[in-house]
Amino acid sequence: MKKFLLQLLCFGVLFLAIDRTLIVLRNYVPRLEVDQRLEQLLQKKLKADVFVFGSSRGARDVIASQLGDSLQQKVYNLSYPGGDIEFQYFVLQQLLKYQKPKAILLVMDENTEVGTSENVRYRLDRLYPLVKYPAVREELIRKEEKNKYVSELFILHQLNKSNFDLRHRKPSPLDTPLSCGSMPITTQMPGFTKKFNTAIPDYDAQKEFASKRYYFNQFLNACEKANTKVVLVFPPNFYAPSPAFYARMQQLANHRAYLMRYNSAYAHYLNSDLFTDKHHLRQSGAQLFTSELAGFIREQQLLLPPKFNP
Amino acid sequence: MLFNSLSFAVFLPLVFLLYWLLSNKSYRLQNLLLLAASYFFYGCWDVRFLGLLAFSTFLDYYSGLQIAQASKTIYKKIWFWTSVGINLGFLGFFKYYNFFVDSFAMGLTKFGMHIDTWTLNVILPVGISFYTFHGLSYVIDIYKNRIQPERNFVDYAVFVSFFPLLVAGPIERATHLLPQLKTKRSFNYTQAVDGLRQILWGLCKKIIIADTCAQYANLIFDHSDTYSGSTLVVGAVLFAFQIYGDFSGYSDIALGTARLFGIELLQNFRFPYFSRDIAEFWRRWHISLSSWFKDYLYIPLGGSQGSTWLRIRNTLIIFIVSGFWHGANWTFIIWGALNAVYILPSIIFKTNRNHLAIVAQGKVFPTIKETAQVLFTFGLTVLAWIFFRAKSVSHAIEYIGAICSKSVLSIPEVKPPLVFVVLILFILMEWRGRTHNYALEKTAFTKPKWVRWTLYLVLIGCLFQFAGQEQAFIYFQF
Repeated sequence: MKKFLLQLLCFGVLFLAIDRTLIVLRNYVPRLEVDQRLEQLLQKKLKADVFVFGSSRGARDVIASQLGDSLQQKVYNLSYPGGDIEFQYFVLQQLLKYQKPKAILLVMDENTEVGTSENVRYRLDRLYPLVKYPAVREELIRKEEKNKYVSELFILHQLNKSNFDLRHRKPSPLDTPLSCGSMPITTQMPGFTKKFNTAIPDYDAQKEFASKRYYFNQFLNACEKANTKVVLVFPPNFYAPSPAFYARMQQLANHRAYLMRYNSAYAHYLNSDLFTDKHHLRQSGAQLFTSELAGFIREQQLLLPPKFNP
Repeated sequence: MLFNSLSFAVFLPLVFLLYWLLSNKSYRLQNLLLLAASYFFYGCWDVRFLGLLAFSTFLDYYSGLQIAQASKTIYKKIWFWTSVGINLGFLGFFKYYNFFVDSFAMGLTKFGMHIDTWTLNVILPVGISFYTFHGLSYVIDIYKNRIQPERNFVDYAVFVSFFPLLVAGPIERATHLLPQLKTKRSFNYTQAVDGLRQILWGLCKKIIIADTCAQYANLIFDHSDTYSGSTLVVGAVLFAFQIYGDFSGYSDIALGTARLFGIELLQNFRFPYFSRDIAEFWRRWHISLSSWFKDYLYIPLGGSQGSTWLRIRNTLIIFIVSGFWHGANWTFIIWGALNAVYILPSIIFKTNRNHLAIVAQGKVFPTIKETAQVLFTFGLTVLAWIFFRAKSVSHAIEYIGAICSKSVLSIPEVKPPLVFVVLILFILMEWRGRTHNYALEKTAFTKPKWVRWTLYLVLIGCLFQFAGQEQAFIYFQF
């Protein structure tokens, strides 16, 4: 028995010693990433007056540098293609830990915002390279991806299979941010049907995900608490807009946000050349929409400090 | 409390230390501790069913004593049938009530009659099929005068509820386990190390093989109507490895855990996917259940004695009952029947005992003939697994129909490279260790310590990387 326990102890010590050496790997993997925005945020290095949040529509449809030039403010885009509202809320929490921006532009997507489409998800793949940061580890524990106690005991448990892939990530035009954080696209997707669909899309609130609604509310509450103004931004699709979705988001926002909808009377948005596919603007379209957005922000005097009265 | 959970990782060392340090004085103390630990373990699943387990244990214990003491045959019979009836009654109620009600109503519908069925939201007590079979074998053995009844209730209760085997077997026999529980266990270094090694291998099978294959098998089976025939073949093969990794992994953990307490359980798997025919497969797959059905159903029915027709009938009965044991669904019954059809030719032509030793024994590689036999047998079992995994019989038929289409020749849409690499490594390790009780056992005999420890460290590292949220074992539902 004594021998058995001793051998077990030796094995355990050896395992722990090897496990500790993985700290080197844990600290090295963030360098392999192309998109450094989240790491800069965790290091509290990102500073701006206005931040853009959203999924791919936020990343593609709003060009932060153009908006910043137009408003004479520093604007940064923190949208993650494929990222759901829960992930956006996590990013917001990290931001609000060290600064209170003047405004947040939350770019809406009628299919995925609180709806049932599964095209967006929690971007765990963005978190795993950054497990050296305690905030990321805590988030993975909250998401039940990792166990709190085991995570504290073993570095190995904090890591993911992807962390052992030591190849440098290749920059992809779809997932590589500009210095302002935006990811505009210049090309069009193959198979994009260039016929504008005039049928007004339905929106069924019964099919919403309660969890997404919860994080949407949390997002707005956190901004309200930080005295940060929120604009819900509705960029164009290459099909008719949905008034029902707009009304629903207005209802969910419950006077906690401004709503900015693209001008559907503006005939340019009927031009398929401005779109990369039916849900996303191409760079030229994004420039047009960003100008419209800048006009709205100026008109509403959002970045001046008057009374907040959406 | 799952074997692959953190709570079990705390529970097991605690019980182990208490067992060897505090209750080492006598086997009675050891058994008391094992009983308390086993009831705690079972209570962690659902405390409400502890009463059912205790009642079932007491019923069989008391019936066993009464059968042995009965002065007249009629009293023996009364106690025997009371015990069997109540045991099967519980099993039938919890597991099959809704199935029978629904099937009855469906049958009447075919004759133009409609009735309102009264189904219940019955929660299946974990492990009921396993501990019921423990109790049944014990009572039957006493009735048949094969064993004497156990007089010590604690010892008997440990036999029924010993936590490593409580929820998913192996299905133990009183003749094998009870004598071990009646003697004081002394700590054996080699046995304990071997136990740990077997637990490690079981965890690898469950977490690295079964849970990884499950992600893709579930995806393919749940959306089978959208995939090509070739993808469906991949799905069926991955399910075959999932269920093997899951169940044999569980058995390895159970056997390894029991060894830590100085107890040897019955081997449940002997590399079944290396079988050269279906008869061999069934001698190597879920051995404790197959031998239970052989001893308590097949042989009493006449076994392989008598006419060809009798042998066919008996084979069909045990395979259909075995399918039904797995669950109240026609898919399981057809899975059992299909296996009966597979095995019948060898029963009829008496070739079912052609392959008793492991394939290519004493050789590194199998012959071409052996390889073809193994692949053919594996193909047959994969086909049967489709019924086992499908949601319904019609789903299984559609699945097989899609496999038989031209799209089987296309490139599969789902072809996860990591899973294939892991499976190839797994098959190689299993092949190398096929003459042992479990694949990793071979390292204990052939490799120096530093190689063994390196291998263990790598495997533990892989476990950490492949482990996600705790996934229940498939056989817990049975």
